[in-house]
Amino acid sequence: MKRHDAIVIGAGLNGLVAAAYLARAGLDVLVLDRAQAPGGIAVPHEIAPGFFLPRFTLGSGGLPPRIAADLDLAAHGLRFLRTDGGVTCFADGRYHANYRDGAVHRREIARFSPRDADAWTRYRRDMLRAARGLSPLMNTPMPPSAKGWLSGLRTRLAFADRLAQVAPADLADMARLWTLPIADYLDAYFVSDEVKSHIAAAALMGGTLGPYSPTSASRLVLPWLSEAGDATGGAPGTLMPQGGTAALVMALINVIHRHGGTLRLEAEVTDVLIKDRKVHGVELANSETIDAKAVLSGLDVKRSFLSLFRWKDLPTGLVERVGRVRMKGVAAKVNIALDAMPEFPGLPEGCPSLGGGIRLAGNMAEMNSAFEDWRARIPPRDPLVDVLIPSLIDPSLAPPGKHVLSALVQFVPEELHDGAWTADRRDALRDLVTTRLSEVSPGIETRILACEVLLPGDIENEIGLTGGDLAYGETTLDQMFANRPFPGQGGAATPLKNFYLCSPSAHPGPFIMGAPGANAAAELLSSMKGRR
Amino acid sequence: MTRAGNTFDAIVIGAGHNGLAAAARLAQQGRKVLVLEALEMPGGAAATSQIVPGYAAPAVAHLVEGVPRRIERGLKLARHGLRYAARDVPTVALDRDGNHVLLPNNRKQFAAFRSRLPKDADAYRDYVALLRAQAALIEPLLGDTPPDMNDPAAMRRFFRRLVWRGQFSGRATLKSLMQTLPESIGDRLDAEFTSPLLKGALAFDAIQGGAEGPYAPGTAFRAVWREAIRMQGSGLRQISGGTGTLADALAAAIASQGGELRFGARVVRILVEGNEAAGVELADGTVLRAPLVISGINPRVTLLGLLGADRLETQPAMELRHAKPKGTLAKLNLALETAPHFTGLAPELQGARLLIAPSLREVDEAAMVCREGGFVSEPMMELHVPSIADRSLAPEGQHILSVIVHHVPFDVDGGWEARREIFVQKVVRTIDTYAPGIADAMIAGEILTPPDIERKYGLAGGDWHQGDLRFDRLLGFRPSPAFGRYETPVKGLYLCGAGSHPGGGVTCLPGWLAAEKAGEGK
Repeated sequence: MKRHDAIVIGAGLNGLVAAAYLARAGLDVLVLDRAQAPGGIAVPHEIAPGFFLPRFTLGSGGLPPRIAADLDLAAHGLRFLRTDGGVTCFADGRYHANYRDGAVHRREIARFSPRDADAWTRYRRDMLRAARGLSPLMNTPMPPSAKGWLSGLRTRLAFADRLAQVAPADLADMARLWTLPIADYLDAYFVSDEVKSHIAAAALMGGTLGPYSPTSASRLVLPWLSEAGDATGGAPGTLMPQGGTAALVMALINVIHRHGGTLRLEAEVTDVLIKDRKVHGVELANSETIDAKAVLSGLDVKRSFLSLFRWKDLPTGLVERVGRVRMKGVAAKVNIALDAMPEFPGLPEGCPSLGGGIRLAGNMAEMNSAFEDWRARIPPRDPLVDVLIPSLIDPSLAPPGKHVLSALVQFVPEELHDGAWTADRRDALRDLVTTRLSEVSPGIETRILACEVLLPGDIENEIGLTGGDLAYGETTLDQMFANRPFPGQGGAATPLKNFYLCSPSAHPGPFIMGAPGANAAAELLSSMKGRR
Repeated sequence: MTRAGNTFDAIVIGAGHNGLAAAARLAQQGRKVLVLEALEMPGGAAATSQIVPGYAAPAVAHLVEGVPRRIERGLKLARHGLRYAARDVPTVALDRDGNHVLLPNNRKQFAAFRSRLPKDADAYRDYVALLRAQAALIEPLLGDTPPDMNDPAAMRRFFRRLVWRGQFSGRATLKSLMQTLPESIGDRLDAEFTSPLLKGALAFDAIQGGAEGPYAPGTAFRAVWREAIRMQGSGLRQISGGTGTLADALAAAIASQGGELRFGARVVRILVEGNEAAGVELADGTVLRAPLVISGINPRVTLLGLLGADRLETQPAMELRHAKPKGTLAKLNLALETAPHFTGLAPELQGARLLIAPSLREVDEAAMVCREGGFVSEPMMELHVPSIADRSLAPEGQHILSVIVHHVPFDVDGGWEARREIFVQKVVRTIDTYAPGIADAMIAGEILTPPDIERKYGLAGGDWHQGDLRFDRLLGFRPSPAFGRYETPVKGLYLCGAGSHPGGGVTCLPGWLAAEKAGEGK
């Protein structure tokens, strides 16, 4: 029987990126997915004939230029569209847009507070500096934990020296960014509630912290990671793949095929084969076994270890370690097909930021209430919603004149304090979202051709993502960097020989598209080259 | 008063224990020191309150982490009357059904603990061992002036030393510290233990005094810091004669070296000439001159109130303005006809530190409700009966019950005028659940809400820690990078209260270290 060099479980974006890197390096790669179509949580979904959006993700974001260039994706037809970074609509009808042009953006802020418009320059400068510091950490694999007393000491002393060289102002800034709540951090720059809430709303999306939670300020840097620091001076823009996630997935599959790799769909891996603590292949649902020198899992860390192995075959203590990883569903996905262009009478005519997304948010206290409600497992009352209408800038995603609307409702608990989600409660959530949407876009509810709401539980049931956690693990600092996926073990390599995690459960998490996959491929290739 | 009578070598603002410690150290160095206190007695929150004549209750703090031996010896505090009625006071987590849990400190106590909580015993032992190892790693930092952030060589030495010590304390310790640093105590406890009572008590301990709940990131580290403070100060102790004895001993030490204390003297302005401290002005217009001014009161009041924001740079001033201190602790002192009888509590533990924090969930709830401006029906609290170990505090057979109630909002919904009564009822009813008949045994009592603490003891916001323990407010960044290491932008003006390193807890360390810094300067 043929023995592959590597098997990748899961044809999600990260799995495909990992497979593409490995195939490009000359390995014989096989990608397996139980679904009928590739894409994982970003699988393109035709909600109504001709209307396409990603089933579980919002649809925005781009691959880092490094990955796109390495895999030569442009040659495979992949383009990314960049637009101004969205607009926040408050309940009272006011709005705050993001503009990539510095002068325009400052004018926008000045509508709320001229003083804050001045402070913007300082904020932007500090965010870019933080992003520049953070980016290398996010874009490279975690160094392996040093083995041996002396080499460990050397590594730590070197780190100590580097830290000592950081200027005190920078060190202080770093400390503030990594320890403060969003609200406190922004208080040091801005006065206007709207300006602060606008920035905070974006930072809270996808996270498990509230605006008053310590360390939440670090999330403010995330939108800046993909900024090249261009001189325009405004707010970060929104990126999305032209042709939707379908184009992205196809381009990656093309790269895999071009280098001799294979993709098999409707092939569910039920077991990873392990002998003498070494992984050597997989078994499918149809009992077929396939051998490989290495196996990479694009599934989340809990599913990877707890459902693909017999627990007794795992090293002592691993099951407990996996059990301690916190994965909490925090968002519901809403997919809508619209019969006609929605109108936004409260926004300027032809607002360029619209294509970048619409955030329905409240003030800081309201957003914190939503967070506390989630913690108390109460159904959302006044939700924070992240909306994207990608067809506004990419007409290929819907029939002419019609649109798709993709939304993530933030702070939706997996289970409610008094039991599971009932059909009534689900409908209530859907109605709440459509009502809130119609507040900013009157009449939108009459234009809805199709609408579905996917709760965290639905996401778990359909795609097997534990807890419906789209972040593949809480992204609080104790589960990031050297602690992702396990404390003290950051990166793709696992305690099992020849088994790697290429999903966002590993460093650097969900924040950089494709990075976990690229890291896993790099770690596997590196381990093949040298023996440590 | 002659002009010479209004000139000193150093003026200390505030006769809290830190201000007094700073003054005592400077006086010992031969300087002419004046301490100015707005109230009529020293000690601030670390004082003794006569609820009614003959009944001396701890004003606020009833147990202290302990003053490091070198400070006690250095200031000869024992000679000036400092004694301890109890040392290494144990902590008991009270159970509603009387099955209390003593947090063990020795083998015998651990055996009892194991039979009480068999599922958690081993995990607890490992937890404490790790906590102590982590605390031991950072403990030396707490007793020293933080390194100068502007000096790369000093920073290099500082980090390297930390790494070296980490290396010898076992690799696991430094590594585990990196995971503990951002963790929430709630998540940590959920992962390690099963007993709600044990989790509640440990969470209570970790977050005490702060505004955040147990699931907020960074709270696991607080437990480590607090343990390190205890190690610096050699363990939890009760001061003989009431907490105020410490202030009295410090005041005596000052007087013995020729220093002066003035009460009823409220400072309203710090005088600056050129960019140097020149003295202070009192509310009654008196001007007192000194080239060294050291303030033990809240940094926000010192810098924005007494000095003036125009002397500060924009960003630090803005941060200070936004960091309005809001204490979340209330104090209840009761004079009792008889000793309180806690159902099921062993007699030898009557004088222990008693915690009412029945579960992690309830601690979380209490913190959340407080953040929203209210208080829960059964508040979390810490109780102590100081009269058990110290008979001098109350008449024969009678007792004092000292209670610190946690998670009490400074600005309560509806205002304290309207809510005080209900609050007291809830607190007393809760205590009554554990010690039936307490209400009937009450002779007298005082209840201090956070605003009351602010008024009575001159503590801004009623916050006696002068600011939460946060990573960006630690070491050289406490209370902020612009005012770290006890220094301010004005030459000769220093900060020496709990708002400076190493923070709150009755240790006298901020005052002692600030005096060292101030002494170097001139």
